[in-house]
Amino acid sequence: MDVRSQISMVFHLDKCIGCHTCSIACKNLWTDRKGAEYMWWNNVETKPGTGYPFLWEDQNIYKGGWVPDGNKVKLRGAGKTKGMSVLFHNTNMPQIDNYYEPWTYKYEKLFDAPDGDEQPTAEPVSLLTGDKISIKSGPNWDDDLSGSPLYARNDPNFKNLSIPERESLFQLERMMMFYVPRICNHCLNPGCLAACPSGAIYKRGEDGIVLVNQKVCRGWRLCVTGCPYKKVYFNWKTGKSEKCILCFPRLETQQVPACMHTCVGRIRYLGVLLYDAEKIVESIACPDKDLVRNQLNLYLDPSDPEVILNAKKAGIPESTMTAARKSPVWKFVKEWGLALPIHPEYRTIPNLFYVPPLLPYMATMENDLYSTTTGNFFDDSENPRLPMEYLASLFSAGNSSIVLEVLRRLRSVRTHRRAVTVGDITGVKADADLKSSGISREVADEIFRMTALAHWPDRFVIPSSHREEATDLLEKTSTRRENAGFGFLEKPKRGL
Amino acid sequence: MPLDHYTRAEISQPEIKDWFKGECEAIPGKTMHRIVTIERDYTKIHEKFISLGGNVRESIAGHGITFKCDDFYDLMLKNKGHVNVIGNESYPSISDDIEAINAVLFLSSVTTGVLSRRAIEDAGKHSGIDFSKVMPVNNEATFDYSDLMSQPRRLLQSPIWSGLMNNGRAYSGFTMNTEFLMPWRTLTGRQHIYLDHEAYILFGENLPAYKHPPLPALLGDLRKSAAEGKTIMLNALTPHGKWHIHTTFGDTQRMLVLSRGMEPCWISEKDAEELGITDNDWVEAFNDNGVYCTRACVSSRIPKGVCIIYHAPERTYSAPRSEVRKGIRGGGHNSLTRLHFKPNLLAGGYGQFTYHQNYWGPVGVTRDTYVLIRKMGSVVF
Repeated sequence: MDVRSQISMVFHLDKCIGCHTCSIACKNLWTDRKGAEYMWWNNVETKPGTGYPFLWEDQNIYKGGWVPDGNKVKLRGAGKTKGMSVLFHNTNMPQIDNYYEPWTYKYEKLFDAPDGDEQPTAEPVSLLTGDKISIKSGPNWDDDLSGSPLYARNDPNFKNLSIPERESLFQLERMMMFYVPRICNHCLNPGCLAACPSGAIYKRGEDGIVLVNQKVCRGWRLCVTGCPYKKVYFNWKTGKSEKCILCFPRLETQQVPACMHTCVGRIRYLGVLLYDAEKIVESIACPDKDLVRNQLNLYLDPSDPEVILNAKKAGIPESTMTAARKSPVWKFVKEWGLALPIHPEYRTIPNLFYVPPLLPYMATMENDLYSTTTGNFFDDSENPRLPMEYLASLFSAGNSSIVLEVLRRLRSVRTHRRAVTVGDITGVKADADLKSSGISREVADEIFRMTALAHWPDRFVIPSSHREEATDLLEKTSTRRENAGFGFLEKPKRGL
Repeated sequence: MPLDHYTRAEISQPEIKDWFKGECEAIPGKTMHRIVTIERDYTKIHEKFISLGGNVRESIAGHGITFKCDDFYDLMLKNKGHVNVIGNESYPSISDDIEAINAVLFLSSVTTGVLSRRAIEDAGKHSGIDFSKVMPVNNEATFDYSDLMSQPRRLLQSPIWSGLMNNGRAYSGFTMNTEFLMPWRTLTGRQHIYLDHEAYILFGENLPAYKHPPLPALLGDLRKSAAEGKTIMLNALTPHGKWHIHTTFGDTQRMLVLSRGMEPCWISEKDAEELGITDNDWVEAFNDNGVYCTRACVSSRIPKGVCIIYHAPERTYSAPRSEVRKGIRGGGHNSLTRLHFKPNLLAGGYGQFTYHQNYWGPVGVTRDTYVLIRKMGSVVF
């Protein structure tokens, strides 16, 4: 057993209102720079939709992530041989138009336009060239089903749906949409890291955050191809790749990452997961349908004596173990079984988990009347508003039974709470629902509290950083002293 | 002045009688609007504009609550760097923005402890309810602009707003009514949806009722505008945007990047097909009131026959010239709209119904209208 510690996340999609406050916080903090204008380390996508960059989920286009190769896996569009062959001509790279050409407006015109019959208006200009542009796309161009004929209808996750099933999703009376906020998944088997020919990408030992060393990066951009989530971006100004750093300078001082701090819907949870690094390869060299269960089996119970012993051997500090035992992510993912990884079939083992949306029917048509009676709100009907195959394509590599199980549990918690607070559902029915989904009343109440009422320290359990260990790695301890307080020994440089 | 809500005038007109037609005596504040005499010294308009006048000493009022603040006004006069002397009189200065902000913060019942207490006492006097539990703990609590610069501050409890927010509680409207059994500002003092007013009975709206939206001919916004080329008529709605109320923050570069660079015109997939337009094509929406040039946002979320333009776009960015209106620059969403009043919206002075332009009235449906939409040929800024 090779125990390692991973900072991981849960996003509760039923709570996301799609406000993009997370994106704004991240953009203001990290990517409000030349060369990074088009980057949104955190972005929010409307589903169904094609996302950002355009159709990122379609690996026939971008060739990201891993594919099985015997009892191992190999990168689809990068790696040792393949990577070298495409080094100077990589046709699977998203171009700026696949993201969007960033723009601003010629605001000066409002002040210095010559006299005329009409008030002046500021025209859009490209932030890349400075020339006038006709805006064609943006980081959330398909927001709220904008441009549905071109975007939502071409969602790659519709692949297993019949044409009539797809069509019915765009009928006004039964259509649905939900939001999927995305950041770097800080994967256990990162495609970006494996693809880098310069060895510039590394996964931090203490918390598993995946980072690009800006001094070592040579701008080959194979990480951009290697990451199936398209969460590594190329900065055209510095000539280096950049990505979400999970706000590690904030985490190291017990602050919550900016996107999570600002989340209006309080959908985000962060905490430690322990995993067994020895089992990574065998967990992904398997058929798609087994991927989620295999991934969940990688994570180790922080209260198990054997795990504790091996964690000690691996040098995991006690503070991390304590945090792991309080981790809300452990609860959502393992104890309660409510959160699933996004696109596990890319085989990078992402550490950002999503609680899938219930999307209950809010009303039904009865005898030509629009009825909003609550009878069928959370009914586990055979006619779900969102086809199970769609959610399964997103969250369980096509294995519908896994998603259905999660939704049943979520529904039974709601039924139970409705019986408690409103009382129009009998306790007997609620208990039967809970029993069939395999959770007790106490756990249902705990899920309810963590979902609806949880305070800051419950939602974010950040282990103490052990700066003394970082100091130990230095040859001279005076280096740290010199680095702290009076500027840098070596100033960070831009460019190659 | 209108017969205002929160005043005694709101029980003055249970029936429709027009003093103008001699049906009743003209009594200001009862059978007609209130008349207030205001004297102006037009030689001192600027001085008055930059100074806080003494009338505020005796009463600050809002939502039926009144309190005195003469002592606080006098304290402002002691703040010598911020006083204007006009003739023989001194006045607190509100000539620059920070002075004006500080004047508001100093005299508001939600930012100054003593004034919060006075407002709560006034509410207790009117309602006979003991509000001592929600009195501010610290009478001296106050903050000014520099405090707000350094960090956000919590507001104090005030009955001018109906939510309880003492002890760090988050504001939620009407909690003063529900938890202290303070009467609601209605005829019965309870939440009620029935109104026995003559005008509402005549309109069949004494209880909430569904009525079909008015047809285009009734609204009359398309009498002069003719279709040019391939054009369709759509019902135009102008609700608040996803990320802004009116223009607030809507025109920042960041938010425009997240909002397609402008306020588009959302139309249904079917109407778009009929018009031969694809998503992001330039279109112009026009009627007798005006024209708005923007891009189409084609979405399955929009029902056929309807288009939605969030309000309010500014003409300061991405506003091209209109083709149907011979090259003049297109306007905003409100270029297409006007107020369509039903007569019963003007009835009032009774119960919770009071006519007060742009303050007390229906939601924005009075602006709903019909427009013609066509694809633009060339786009000239």
